[in-house]
Amino acid sequence: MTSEAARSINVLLVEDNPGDVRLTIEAMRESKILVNLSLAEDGEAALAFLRREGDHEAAPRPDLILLDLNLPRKDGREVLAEIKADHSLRRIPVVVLTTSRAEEDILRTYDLHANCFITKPVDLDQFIAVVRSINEFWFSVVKLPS
Amino acid sequence: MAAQDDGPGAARRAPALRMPFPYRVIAALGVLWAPVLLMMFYSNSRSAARHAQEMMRQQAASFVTVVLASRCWESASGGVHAVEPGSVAQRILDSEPNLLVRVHLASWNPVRAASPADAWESKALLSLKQGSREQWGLQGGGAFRYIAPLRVDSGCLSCHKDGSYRAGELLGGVGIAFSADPYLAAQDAEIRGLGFRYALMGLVGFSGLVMSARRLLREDAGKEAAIRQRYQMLFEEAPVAYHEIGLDGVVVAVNRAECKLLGLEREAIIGRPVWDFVAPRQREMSRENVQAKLAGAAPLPVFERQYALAGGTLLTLEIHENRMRDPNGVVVGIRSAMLDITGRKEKEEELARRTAELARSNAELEQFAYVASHDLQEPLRMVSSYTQLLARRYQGKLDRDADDFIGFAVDGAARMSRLINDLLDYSRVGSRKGEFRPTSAGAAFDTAMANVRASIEESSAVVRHSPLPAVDADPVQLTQIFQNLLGNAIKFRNGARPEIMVACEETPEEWRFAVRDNGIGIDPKHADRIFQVFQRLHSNRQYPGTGIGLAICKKIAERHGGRIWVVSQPGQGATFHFTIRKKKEGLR
Repeated sequence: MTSEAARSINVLLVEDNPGDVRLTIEAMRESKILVNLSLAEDGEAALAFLRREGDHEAAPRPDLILLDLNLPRKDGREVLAEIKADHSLRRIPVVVLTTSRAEEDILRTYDLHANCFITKPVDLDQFIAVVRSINEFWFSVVKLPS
Repeated sequence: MAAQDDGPGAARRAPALRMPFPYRVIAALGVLWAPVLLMMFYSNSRSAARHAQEMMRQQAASFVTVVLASRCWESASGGVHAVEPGSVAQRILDSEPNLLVRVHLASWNPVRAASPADAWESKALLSLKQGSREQWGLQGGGAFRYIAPLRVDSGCLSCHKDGSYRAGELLGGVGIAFSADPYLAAQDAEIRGLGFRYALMGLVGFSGLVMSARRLLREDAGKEAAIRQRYQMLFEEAPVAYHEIGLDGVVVAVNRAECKLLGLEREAIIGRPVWDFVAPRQREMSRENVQAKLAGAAPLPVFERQYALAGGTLLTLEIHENRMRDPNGVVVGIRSAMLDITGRKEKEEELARRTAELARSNAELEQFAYVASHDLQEPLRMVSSYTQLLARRYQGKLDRDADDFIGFAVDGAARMSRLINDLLDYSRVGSRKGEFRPTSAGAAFDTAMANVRASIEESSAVVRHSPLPAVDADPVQLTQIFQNLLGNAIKFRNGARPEIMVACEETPEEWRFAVRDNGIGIDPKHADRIFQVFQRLHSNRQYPGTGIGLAICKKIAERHGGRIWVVSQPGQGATFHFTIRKKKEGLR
């Protein structure tokens, strides 16, 4: 039990919209799995967090990244490209979570080696269901690198 | 007049300087006339000479005949002495002192040794001995000489009975000599007459030839003048601006239309290099081009050039050029016809500008619709999610009104979300389009069928179709149009089991598809409205939907160069027709 608690699950949420951040937190709260959620509000902050630069020296290495595509300063596609080009970061699964339904966004992100692409549902129940499935899939179905 | 330049070959053609046929005939006659006359003159002169000699010969021969005949007559009358031919001749001559004839009996064995045969006689005697009947000829000094044989006859033998003479024996010749001068004078007079006549004939003939040649030349000159005048008129009166330039590029001729076009007097144009009239920024190029064209033999293409008017106004001219050549094919300049296409050019540019503007504004509109609907999603999701969260947490904990309000807010947000998504789909028909490529309409139809399978099964619809062709289309959009029309045909059913028939006809220009159903039908007065964005004929409760499906179909058909329309009556089903143009040039 102690070892389970000690190995808490870390998720980095890269999202600039406070409404979405709160909604994700609420949805996470409704799912059964407890996660340690960190937040980066723009692309540069996300990369600084991942590389433990500046204030993020003590940042935990996330087990999963939830990435929005439309971000200030450095957008989600660039962040994705940099993560996947970085040997130390590329194994961290990246779930693109966006309002976009556009075919070119889907193709583009998979071309950049995103692990999956999810369109945020407008409906709250569906959104909660999506967050729950993400958690269930990535933290109990999938075997992640330790 | 200069020859027309009719292509690059003209420059290499050998310059042909051929006399026209009538001139060649005249020249040939002129060349033949003198020898013919000369030959005739020569032949007639010869015959006059022969004639004179013949007269002399006959004169001499008759004299010999007289001498011999006289002797025979004397011999018959018994006179012996008189029989001797020499004395007969002498007596005749003595009796007629005016007769300037000399008679000489010549023999290689003369009776009187004092008068031997001279050189001519000796030679002639030799011929007589060989059987000649007579010898004659003209001798220097104008003497005509004649000699005929003198033979022994019976009269001779009556005296010479010693047997030294035999009858028929050739003793020598009777020679006659007289002056040829009168005959030769007559002959010369005749030849002079001939000469005069032939000279006259020659003169008359030559003058005739010369006159015909001059007449021909005059006629040709007249014809050429007429042609030149006609050319001049065509050039001058043409409603098209014309000018001609020489090898130095200087204008040598200009017509009225060009003067009017350039707004200049003729004198202000002629004598100046043609590039002086070209707009300043094209002037140098024009000069180089003109010089290259005058020097070269390459074909002259039609081109456009800007000319500047005195006030600085620019004219755009379409210029057609021909090289001018002299009759030997040598280039002497260029003739240009100029069409003022300034107006047409401006209209074309205006049209191109408007087309580009329209395309840009269309693209902007599509982009706007896309961005707007895309960006609208974000706040909408917030409204929708948080009203739902509100409902989730506080439903039943506030009062009844609060629950209603939350319900309306959630509903409204959901409907707005559908509208935004439909608008996005609509804008994507233009902005997220695929390439036109050979597409099986049958395959597109099958995909559409698969996409609406759930509603087909749920409504037990029967869908049939005739063979569908391969067409040039955007396959995704072709599927979309089938899918929307099938979806509508099922959605707007009238309680009976939906029966749908899909068919295609070919016309020379396009493919015409038809989707026929047995549904509720449409009042023809709404036939146009149903294809507009978000235009609906029914409440959401009766037939849910936003009213975007047919608007998307219309946009797809129009993008394929076609159109869409409906043929229907309320309660009698509807047939939706749409076309796809076969040739897609100019479509995007």
